[in-house]
Amino acid sequence: MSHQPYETFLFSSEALDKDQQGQLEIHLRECEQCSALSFTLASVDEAFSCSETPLPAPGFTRRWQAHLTEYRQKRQVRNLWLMTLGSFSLTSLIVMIIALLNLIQINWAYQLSQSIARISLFTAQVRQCFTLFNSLSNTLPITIPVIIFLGIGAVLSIFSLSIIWFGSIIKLYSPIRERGH
Amino acid sequence: MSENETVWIEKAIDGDENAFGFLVDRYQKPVFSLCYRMLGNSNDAEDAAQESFIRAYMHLKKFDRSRSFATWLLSIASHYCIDRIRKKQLPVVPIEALPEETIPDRSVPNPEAKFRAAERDLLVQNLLMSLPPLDRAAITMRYWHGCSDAEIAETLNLTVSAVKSRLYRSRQALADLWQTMEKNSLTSERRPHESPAL
Repeated sequence: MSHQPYETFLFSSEALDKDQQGQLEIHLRECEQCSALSFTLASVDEAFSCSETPLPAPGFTRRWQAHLTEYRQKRQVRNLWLMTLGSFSLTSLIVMIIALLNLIQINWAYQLSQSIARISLFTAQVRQCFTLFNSLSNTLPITIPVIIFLGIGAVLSIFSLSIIWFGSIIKLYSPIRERGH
Repeated sequence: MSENETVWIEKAIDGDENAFGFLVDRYQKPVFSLCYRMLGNSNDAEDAAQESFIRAYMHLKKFDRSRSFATWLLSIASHYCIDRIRKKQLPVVPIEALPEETIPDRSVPNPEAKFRAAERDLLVQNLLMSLPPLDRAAITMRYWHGCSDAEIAETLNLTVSAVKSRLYRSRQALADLWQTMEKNSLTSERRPHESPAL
């Protein structure tokens, strides 16, 4: 036997109309299972409606006021702690940012000024050399061709480079002195 | 909402603690009742009700005056209780753990009736505790507060169809438990090794 829609009628929280009520009553007379279920639900409903809820102990409002005062105090203390921690953290953060900015500023400015100074010095030296060479070539009478000067310079350079090269090779192959002896 | 209540709410929003005290006085019973049904004992219910009123007072400025104050208050209490149950995982007493026989206290007037009432209350509470927290809140509001589906939906932040479905399922679960309990009590009435003929 089908128990639908009668089971739904029984469990539903909505009020049934007259037709549905009539159909349910007829079905309950015929179906033992649904009749037992209806009886059970009636028992549950009765138990729930008869069960009394205990009342709060007298002085609930007074206790609430005390509770509220305590809550406010706790909140105030917590806020104070939060404020202290917050201001401490903020101060630390500001100090750290300032220190970092200062550090970065000194390095950058120093490096930049050094670079500019080096470049300008190098440019000035080059210009001086060029000017000196120009003035020498213009004022001194050219008795010896310039190519000879350049040749002598090249030979001297090669000679000095060779000395440096040999010196470094000798230094590289010399025995390493042991520490502590 | 009565005119007095509206005045008290307005005053409380302006920071009048005594005005909110009147509201606490008026709604302590329904809030305590809901907390008791949700948590299952008076101590927890007292704590939860107190905390619910504190929360209500602290968030009073958020109260939508077009809504019912009672519904708003019950909403705070029910959500607080649900959170508390989920956090603490309050023990659910199985229906089989009900005391089968307790000697009634003969010193009180009509001890038999008192004993029966206490037994019934315990049974009801155990039935309720077997339900999930949200269903328990819906059933409590329906049986003890006479709330409509729409009011329950508003209180628990659910749709009306969800409330209907939850109430249906809860009643089904309660009926099943009741039937199981009756079967258990029938089998336990016959002593072990005793002939059914006796």
